[in-house]
Amino acid sequence: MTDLETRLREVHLDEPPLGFDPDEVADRAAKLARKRAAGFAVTVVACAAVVAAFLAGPGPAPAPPAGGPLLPSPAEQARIRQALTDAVTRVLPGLRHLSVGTSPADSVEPAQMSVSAEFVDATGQPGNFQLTVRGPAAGASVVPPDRLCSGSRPEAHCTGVPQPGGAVLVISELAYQGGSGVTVKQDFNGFLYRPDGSTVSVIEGIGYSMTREQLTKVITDPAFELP
Amino acid sequence: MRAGDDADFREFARARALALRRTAYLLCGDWYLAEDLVQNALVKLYRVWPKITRRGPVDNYARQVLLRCWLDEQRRPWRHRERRDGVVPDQPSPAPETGISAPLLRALAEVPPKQRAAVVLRYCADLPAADVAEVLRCSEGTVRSQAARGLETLRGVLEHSAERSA
Repeated sequence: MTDLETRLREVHLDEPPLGFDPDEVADRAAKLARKRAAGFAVTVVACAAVVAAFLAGPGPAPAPPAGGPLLPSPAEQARIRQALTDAVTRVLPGLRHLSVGTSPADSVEPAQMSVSAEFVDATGQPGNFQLTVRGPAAGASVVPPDRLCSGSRPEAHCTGVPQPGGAVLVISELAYQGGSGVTVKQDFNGFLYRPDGSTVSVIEGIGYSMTREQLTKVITDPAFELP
Repeated sequence: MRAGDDADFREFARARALALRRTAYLLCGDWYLAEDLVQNALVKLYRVWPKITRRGPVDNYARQVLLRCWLDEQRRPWRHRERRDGVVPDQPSPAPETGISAPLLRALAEVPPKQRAAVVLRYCADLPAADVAEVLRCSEGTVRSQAARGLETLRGVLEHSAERSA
């Protein structure tokens, strides 16, 4: 064992007292879970209503749904996952392995969903990234482009690239440098803003990092959209 | 979630919150952010708690979720980490780390995130390579290579800062 390994194992931290109550977090998580379940129930009821209306034949036009945006339907979720599979296969040919939608960080929320792609590339290097699709109804939670790179990472370099149809793709580039000042890693993350208020973002994870071109091809795929 | 599962989750959260926050701090170097990450991870964990507890011990899964939360945060340069609600924290900011670990902690922050994760889990948290591989969702060989590269980078950063201060 090296001296550095020993120092890491014995690293000393002056830990402050815990600043949150785990039970309060559990209460919050339970509340969120109930809310999600209620959203799912609303979706099921809405689907049942559509099926009933279809079976009953034409009638008066249904009223628009009250309340906030709905969760993406199971069919939409499956379509997004398939679109991600297709996009990754197209952009990263020769993959040895690909799994989509198996990360614990995946989530489905009203008018948005996050889905991950985990893969092993042709050279055997593993990689993954998370793609989040937000519909126009989720617009309130989206950071506007002009504030995207004004946060606490001054070393990140952001560029905005206008896309056909009026969309703007903002790519952040972050280079990691080793002790000798040599760039040891370069990561690209992207955020696509469409004129209708919908967005698509890609956050890269551990391992293989896509190039700027590969990221652009994935994120601008028109299949990634939600109502 | 059933009452029994809910009680089990609360017990887990109470027992592991500090350890998870310590890991989160070693990854991100900020106590406030570490607490945010742990809370986010616990909320995500709650959603799948009944399912994962049936599969066996949940510690590695919890670390996996925590790591994902940190990577999400770490890789979003557009995320503002300062408080946006205009409320001044009622606790004083913890004193900066002192003692022999301080240069090491500062150097750790300069290691690329993937290597840092391997170093923190393998050495600081003292997990076996197999557990780290489960958390990072990669092979043990990848863990060893990432940890070795991380150590190399860390050594370089420490030497570089020692030269600068000399």
